[in-house]
Parts: sequence; structure tokens; C-alpha cells
Amino acid sequence: MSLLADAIHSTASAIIVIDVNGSVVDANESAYQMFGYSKDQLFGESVNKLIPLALHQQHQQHIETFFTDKPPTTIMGKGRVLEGVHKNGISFHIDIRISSFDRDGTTYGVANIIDLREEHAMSRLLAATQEIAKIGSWRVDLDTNTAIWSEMVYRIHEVDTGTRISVEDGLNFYVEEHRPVITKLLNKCIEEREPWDIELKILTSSGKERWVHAIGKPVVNNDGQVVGLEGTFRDIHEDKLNRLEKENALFKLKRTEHLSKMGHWQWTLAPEKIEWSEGLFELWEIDSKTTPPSLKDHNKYIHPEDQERFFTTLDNSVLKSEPYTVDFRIETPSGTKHIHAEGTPQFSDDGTVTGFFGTAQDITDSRASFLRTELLNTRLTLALDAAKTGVWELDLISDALSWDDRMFALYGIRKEDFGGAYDAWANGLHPEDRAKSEKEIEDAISGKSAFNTRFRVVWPDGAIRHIRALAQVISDRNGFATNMVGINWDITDEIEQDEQLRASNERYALMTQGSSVGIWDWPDVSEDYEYWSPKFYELLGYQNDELQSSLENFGNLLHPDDSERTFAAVDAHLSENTPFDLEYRLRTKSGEYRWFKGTGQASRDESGKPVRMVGSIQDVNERVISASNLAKLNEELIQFSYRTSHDLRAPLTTSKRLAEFIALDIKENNLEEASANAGKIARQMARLEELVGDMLDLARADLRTENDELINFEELENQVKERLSWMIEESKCTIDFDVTLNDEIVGEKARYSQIIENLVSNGIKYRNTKNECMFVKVELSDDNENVFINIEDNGVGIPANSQSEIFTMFKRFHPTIGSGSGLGLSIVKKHIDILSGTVEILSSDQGTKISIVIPKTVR
Amino acid sequence: MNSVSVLIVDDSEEDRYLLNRQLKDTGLVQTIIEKEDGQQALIFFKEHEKNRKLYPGAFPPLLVFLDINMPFLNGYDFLKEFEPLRKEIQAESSIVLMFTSSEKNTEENDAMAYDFVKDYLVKGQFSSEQLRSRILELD
Repeated sequence: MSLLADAIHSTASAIIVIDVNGSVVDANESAYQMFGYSKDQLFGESVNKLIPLALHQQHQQHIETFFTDKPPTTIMGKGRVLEGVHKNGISFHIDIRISSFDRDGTTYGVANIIDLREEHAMSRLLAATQEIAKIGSWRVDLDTNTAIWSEMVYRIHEVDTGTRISVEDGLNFYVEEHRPVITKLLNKCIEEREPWDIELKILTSSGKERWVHAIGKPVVNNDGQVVGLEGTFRDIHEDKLNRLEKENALFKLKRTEHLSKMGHWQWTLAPEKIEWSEGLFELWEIDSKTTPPSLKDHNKYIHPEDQERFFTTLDNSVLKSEPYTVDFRIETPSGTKHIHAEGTPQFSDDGTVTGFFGTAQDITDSRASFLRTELLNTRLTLALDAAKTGVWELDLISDALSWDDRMFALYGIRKEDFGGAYDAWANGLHPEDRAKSEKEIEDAISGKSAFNTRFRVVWPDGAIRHIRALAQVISDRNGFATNMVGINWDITDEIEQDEQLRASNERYALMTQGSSVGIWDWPDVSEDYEYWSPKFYELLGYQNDELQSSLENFGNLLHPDDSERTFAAVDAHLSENTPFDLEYRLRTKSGEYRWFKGTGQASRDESGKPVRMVGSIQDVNERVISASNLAKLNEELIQFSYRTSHDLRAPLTTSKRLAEFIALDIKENNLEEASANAGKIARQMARLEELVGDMLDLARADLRTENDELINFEELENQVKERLSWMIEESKCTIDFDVTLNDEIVGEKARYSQIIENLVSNGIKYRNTKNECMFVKVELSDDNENVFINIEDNGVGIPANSQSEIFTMFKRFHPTIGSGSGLGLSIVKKHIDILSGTVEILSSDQGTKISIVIPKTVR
Repeated sequence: MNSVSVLIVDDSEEDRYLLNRQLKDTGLVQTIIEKEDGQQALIFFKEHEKNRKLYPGAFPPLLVFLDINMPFLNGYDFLKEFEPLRKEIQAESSIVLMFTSSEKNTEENDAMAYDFVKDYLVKGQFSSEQLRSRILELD
């Protein structure tokens, strides 16, 4: 052969010639060495013998296709790494280029095979490195829009190695939110040759999220054009998650410290270093970018009063290598803060102190709320103590009752004797109140009603106390009653006071009803309103509320003559506190004025100003009237005694003097004069006799000594005429009696007799001598109720200006005519009064008519 | 003073008689006029023109003996009326002596309040001699 043939045999590449059946027809020396076969072992064998079994079928098809198409030299698998199989069974990477030629009408195929084992070892190393670093490489050919990925890149994407990937395919693996980022970086790299280095998230073909670190840079040709991109691709998922978790944890710590107003610090001894958390800087209100203050620097921050305690605590802790706890105040720009700090030493394995770790917390707010709670508690305790109020709590689940000390006092039980059960309360209850109270508790627990009740408890010594109880049921979130909290207090005194007040009110009501005193209450002396008791109204003849009770109406009821002095007395009492006690007249409903005794007393405020006035009225009409009558009677009596003494003495004095003159006259023998004077004495004596007689009649008129009897008026007429016979004869007067009575009249005959005799005698005495016929007429008549006595004369009458004094004693209206005692009409009036009768006198110079009405006496 | 004119005002005829006689016993009195009550006495003064003529030299009477208890117009009522009248009729020379059986101090005081009432005599308690000295004491 030729030089070429020797060259073919000596080349490092294995050359194998096959026929259309794929059988080896020739091979060079390198081929035998590469695959480990001898010439005899390989000639006539299928080339598949050199291919891994798995690829046999595919390879056979390639051969058939190859001989049909007869292409020019082709790189098999387009430079893909193929595998060959050594005789010893070990496969190895090869690179194959195949071509064909014809000889003597037969087509042969030629394969040029390069053993890639050297190169593959390098590639393995790279692959291993990539495997360990989880880093892959890639390259993009912009012309063909093809991405070339390393094995690791495929693995990261969970895509079969060798799968064709376009640039778009590659970008689509990125998660949606990161896709625009990488697209933008890619474009920027192509346009501006800017490399990138970024951590992004992809979704693998199986849908798993992975964090990747992608680095890229442009590939530039000799002309300076960007023809492609290349870079690395690394799976950083676990790293990234760890980092994120750490960041998150740190973030949470920061937030926690901020929210709980806390901070922490770390003091490392060798080398000495102090580290503060941001929270601590925030607490101390120092810029966190500055170096944290050392322990010594803290005298700047700690409240002067707390410094000694703070430093002593920390020094001790360092000295003894013990944890510490200390509360102190710091001064910050925003004000004083209360800090609670705790710290602990840190030890190395051999037990030496390496540093300290500590925390500090702002407890200003919690301290304030603690103080507030304490204050409230103190106040509550004081209030409960003062009100002797006991507090109890009932655990509805365990039925356990807890009482405070005050509860025991309320139930008269000693704490040590008390079992603490609900039963103890129920046993203390008054038997009559037990059922009711237990039901009320049940109703309260079931939410039917609020627990607001009162009951009695029986103390061990038998004393009964009234207890007022209020309670509230406490329910859990599901509305299930779990606890009941309540208070008890003793209302025995209150109830007793109420009872006393009620009794007192009742007494007052009975008193005011029973007594004759009407009460008024003027609750505010600057107002018109008054209260009038029912008796007050009754005394005035009104129904309750028939007349509005007011000062104004009181004024309206007052007698006009009493109004001024009554109100003056009220004013004087209010301003000067002079006693208000006087009598005044009030108009009753019937229009009649009655006398009342009024009293009143004002109550005053601290300054002495009157606020209220309460008083009473009492009907004293009878007393006032009878007192005034008495005064009149008294006056009459004085008059009477004066006049009688005068009228009795005067005739005696006169007669005595006349007797002296008579003696003198006789001595002087002047007998005529003596005789005249003796006549005068006789007249004086007659007058005296008459006066004494009348006085006896008058005195007798006052006495009710005589019994009622049937009066025979005919007999009475005769007696009167008989007694007045000398007068009648002398006067020449006609005396007529006209008696027309339906009934027999019963009464004191002497009174009727004196009335008629006196009036008839007056009629005769004061006759008018100018009349031709002088008369005195007596008429007696009756109806069912009364006896009428009319006595009429045609005498001189009673002078008009004296008619008001007709019945006054010792009045004589016609001294020239008669010489009576002046007592006649007084005697008549007295008799009529005693017989409860009335008398009217009509008199003129034509005569006098006297009309007397006397109620009949019922026998 | 032996020509005194006197007016006696008293409703008691006997008392007028007694006083009249006692006055005569004093020897001081020349004329005595009697009236039965205050009303009559007042009329006597009111009719002064007529009475001056009727009782020449004796009107107005120098002394008026006045009883208190009299009908129609008693002694007090007379004094009340007489006070202005005596000026009106130029009878201011007349003086009044109360002449009564009342011993009440109040009555005496009421009467003596008039400046022209000069004395208060209780009936029956003085003799003619005593009456004479009382009149002389009046100056």
C-alpha cells in the first residue's frame, strides 16, 4: 500500500470501515487497541459490538439512514458525547465522525473515532466540582437562539440532560414575579454588555421552587459584537432559606424588643466589647449607630437616687459571677423611665467568665398601672372596711365559697369554724328566708334575674341580723357561669331606724289626727308653698286639698284686722327670733271667722338664717269669745257693784243729813220744814227699798233654783195685776191680757212673771199723759217651738239715741217721769237670756212694742 | 265774798236741797239756781243773754256744783260741752266744783283735768263750816 495506508494505521484515531449491513470490513491498528479486539475478532462483526447494548437499535437505524442518504462527513450526535464499549465491557466516551465512499459499486462507511477518555476525565472533575458546588454553566448562542447548559444546570432545572433549550425556554423557568427582572438584565447585557449577578427563584419542571444564583456576561467576537452570553447558575435554595429565616428571626427580635420596650446587650471580656441591640438604643434614646456606652458611662443615664443601688448590684454580680435583677430609673430626653434589668454571666467550657448577657425593659407603664391597682385596692379595702361590707366569691364548678374577714363578722362566725362551703352560708340563713334566697341565687346563675336581695341571718348566739346582698355572675367565653362574686352588708340598724321612723310617723299622724291642733309646715321660707295637715283643713272646715296650702292663701284667710300684726309677728320671728305665739282670726269655709291660737318656730342654717318654719293652729274661738264675754261680765260686775254701792249709799247719806236738818228744824221750831224733810227721808227709803228689791230679783234671775212647772197664765195675769194694782189705779191705764196658747206652757213661772210684770210696770210708768186712752197690751201666743210675748204701749217711748243702751243696768231714760232703780230691763234681759230667748224693742214717741220669743221647754 | 252766785246741777232733789241749805249756812251765797241734769245746765248757759237779764248780777254763776251721775247728760259730758262754751259766752269767771257720791280716784282725776274745775267734793262728807272754808280757799 501506500504511505497513506501506513499513516492511517499509525494515527491515534480509530478508523473503522463498515458495509451497508453495519459489519466491520476493515479497521486500523488504533481501532483494535481502542476497543481491545484483534483483527480476526472484529472482521465481519456488527459494528454494534462497539456500542453499549442500550444504543444498538438506535445505532442500527442511524446506519440504515446513513447508507440511504450518503451524507458528506457528519459528526455524529452533532458533537454529542457518545459511548463506546471496550472488550472488557467498560464503556468510555468517544467522538465519532462518519463518511462514505464507493468501491467497485459497493458503498462503504468510514467512522473516525476519537477516544475521549482523557478529555472526559477533566470533564468528570468539572462535573464533580459542579456537583459539589451545585453550580452549573451555560452559554447562549444568539444566532441560533440556543442555550447550552451544563449537566448541573439541567439537574437544577430537573430537565433531562441534552434536552434542547431555547433562550425563551430558559427564561420561562423563572417564577413569574422574577421573570421580568431576568429578562431586563439579559437585554441590558446584550445591549450594554453589562454583566449580572442576582439571586432569583425558579420553578423546576416538577414544579418545585428553588432559589438560584445566576451570573452572566456577554460573549463578544473579534469584531466586538455580542454574539452570545455565558455564565454560571447555582442552586442556593437551602442557603437562601437559612439566610431568610435568620433575617426574619432578627427582624422579629427587633420588633419584639421595640414593642415590649426591651433591649439586650452582650459584654464580651476578651477582647472587651460591648454590643447593644437596637431595642436597647431605642430605650436609652441613643443613636444606634454610635458606640454603646460602657457601664462606667452609665452615671450619665441612671437617676441619681438609683445609682448606688444599680452599681452595687452590678458590681456584686460581676464579683460573684452571679445573675442579677435590678430596677432603676434612667433619664432620657423624653423623661424618666422605670427600667427592670436582668443579667447573667456567660462561661466558657472550663468555667471561666467570658462575658455577660443582659436585658432591660421599660416598666414605666406597668409600674404606673401596678401602682394604680395598688391604690384602688387600698381604697376598696378602706371603703369595704368603713361600710362593714363583706365580699364573697363562689366557684360554681367546685361549689367552693370564699369569704373575706368581714363576711365572718357579718355572720357572727369565727373564721376557723367555717368550712368554706356554700352550705355554710345556707345554714346561716334564717329558715324562713332560705328557700327564697337559694332560688334567687339559682335565678342569678341561670341569668334569669340579677341577685339583689335581702335576707336574715341567724347568728350562733341566736341574734337575727338583716343582710343586704348584691352579686354578679361571671361567665366564661361560652357564657357558662363559672363564678359568682358578691357583697353583703348589715342593714339591721337601717331597718330598725325605718321601723322607728314608720312608728314615729304613725304616732305623729295619730297625734295630729287625735289632737285639735292643725300643723303647717313652710319648708322654704323664700317660697310660697306650705304644707297643711288634714286637721288644719278640718279646723277651717275644708276638705284636704280643697284649698291650696300656701302662704298667700293663709293671708287670704286671715281676718283683715289681724293680718298686719300676724305677718309682723312672722317677720319678727324670722328676723329677730321673737316668739311667734299669738291669736288671730281665720275665715272658715262657711265664711265665719274663728279665733285660733297660732304658734310657730323657724329652723335656721349655720349662719342663723331662717330656712324653714313649722307651726300649729288651735281653735280657741270658744275661749276667746267666753273670755271676752267674761271681760264684759266682769266689767258689768264692777259697774254693778259701783252703782249699787253708790245707789245704796246715796239715799243713806242724804237721809242722814236730812235727819240732822230735821233735828235742827225741830230745835228751831221750824216744824213745817222738818215735816217736809221727813217726807224726803221717806222717799229716799222707798227708793232704797225698791233698789234692794230689784237687786234681789236680778240676783235671783241668775240662779236656776226653780223647777219647771206648768204655767197657768190666767193666774199669772191676776198676780201681776194684783201686785201693780196701786200703780194701775193711779195711772188710769188700761191693762189688757190676750192669751191664745195651743199648748200648755212649761217653764219657770217666776221668770215669765217678772218679765211681764217689769215690762207692764214700765209701760205704766212711762205712759204718755197726753193720750186720752193710755194702755198696755200683753199678748201671749205660741207655735210648735216657741212662746211669743208681745207687750205694747202708747207711752212716751225710749229716746232714739238711748235705744242701744236699753238693757244696760242703772239706765233711766226718763228721770223726771219715774224714779226706778234702772235695773228693770236688765232683769228682763237676764231672764230672757237664761230662757234662751230673744227680745226686740221697737220704740218711738208713739209708744213702745217689745217682742219676746222663748223656745218651749220640752218636758 | 258774801254775794256768790251758785248753780247746783244734780238729778237728786234731796241732794240739791241739802247742798242748797248748807250753802245758805255758809253765809257766802246770795243766789242759788238749781238744774236737774247736765242737759238743763247746758241750756241754762246757752241761754246766757236771757239769763243775764233774769239773774242780774248772778249770771254767769261764780260756782257750779256739778254731780257726775245724771241722766241725759252726765257731769263729764257737761264739762266737755262747757269748756268751749264758757269762752264763747264770756262765762270764764265760772268755776266748777264736782259734787258727787263717787269716791273713785279715776273720776276725780278725769274731772280735775279741766283747769276750770277747782274742787272735788264727796256728798255727805263735809259740814257747812267745811264747805265755807273750801269756798273761801278758792280765792
